[in-house]
Amino acid sequence: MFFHVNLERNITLEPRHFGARMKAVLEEKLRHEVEGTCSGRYGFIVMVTRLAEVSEGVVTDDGTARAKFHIKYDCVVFRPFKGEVMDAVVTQVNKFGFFAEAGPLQLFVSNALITEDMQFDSSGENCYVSDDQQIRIQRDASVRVRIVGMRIDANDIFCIATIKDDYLGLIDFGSGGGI
Amino acid sequence: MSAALCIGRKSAEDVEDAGELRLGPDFDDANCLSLAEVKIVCESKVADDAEQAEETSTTRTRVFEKTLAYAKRFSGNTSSTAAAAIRELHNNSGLHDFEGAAISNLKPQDWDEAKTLVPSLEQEDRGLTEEGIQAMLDEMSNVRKFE
Repeated sequence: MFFHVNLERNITLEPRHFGARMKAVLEEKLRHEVEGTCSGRYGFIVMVTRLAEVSEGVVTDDGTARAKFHIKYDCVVFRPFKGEVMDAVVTQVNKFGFFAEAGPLQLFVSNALITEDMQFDSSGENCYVSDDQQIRIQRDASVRVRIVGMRIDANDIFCIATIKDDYLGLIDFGSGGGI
Repeated sequence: MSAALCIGRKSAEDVEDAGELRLGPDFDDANCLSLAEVKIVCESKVADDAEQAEETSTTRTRVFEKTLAYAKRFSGNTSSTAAAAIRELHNNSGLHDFEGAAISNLKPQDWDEAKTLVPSLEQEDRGLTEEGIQAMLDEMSNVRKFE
């Protein structure tokens, strides 16, 4: 799910930036440091939308004459939750299951979590096909999945998902066709 | 980070469950955005940059590019007025922000689909009725149809 949240961060600025454009430099530096990053706690930070509050600068005591600013900012984040249902795009299919992407998030659906009537087929492009040949999950298809587990690393989140439930599974075949 | 903090964090993950609307202290009261809204925010950033004829670091991160592509693919053609109308609808139905955004992303057709995809709708003492939710879903699909 995407959220609009308020976060805080300390930014250190070198003396050469002190002056009229200081706030602009601070904002630029903040964007550079946080946008595109991922943490287990807040998920992926997509973009900073506003600086809510910038504290007065405090010169650091490490002898470099740099100043530290405490910044409160609003930003758009993407944070997955266990139990959440979302749509994703299939990126890779193999006999162990398939990988998919929901925005910045990587998901894996293992073949144990794919409905039993679907079999792996590698005769053409790797895909999972239902017994009646009507449903075909291959690269670039859209699928609806439910997250069942998350692995949170220092700077990445990886999810295990399932399509073995009502209303989950293939939504459309991707750019090649459609229902 | 101390070992104790790591352990504390671990147990926090275990209690999170979107199906029961437990999102942890950081997100319980956070504002959720639907894909249509994310698309509007991202595209307006791209438009701002184009206007000032300079590319900022924001639009060049992998996370931003993937997010915009994802939002474009799955939000449909919801305009900003339709997105506002849909938000109004789920705000008025007594839904949690998370459920509202989930429903507006997943576009369920009926009550059965909605409660399967978003199980927290079925929790007791929420005061949500099948009729109420169904009426809201119908209204949402009308908004999409007639924009």
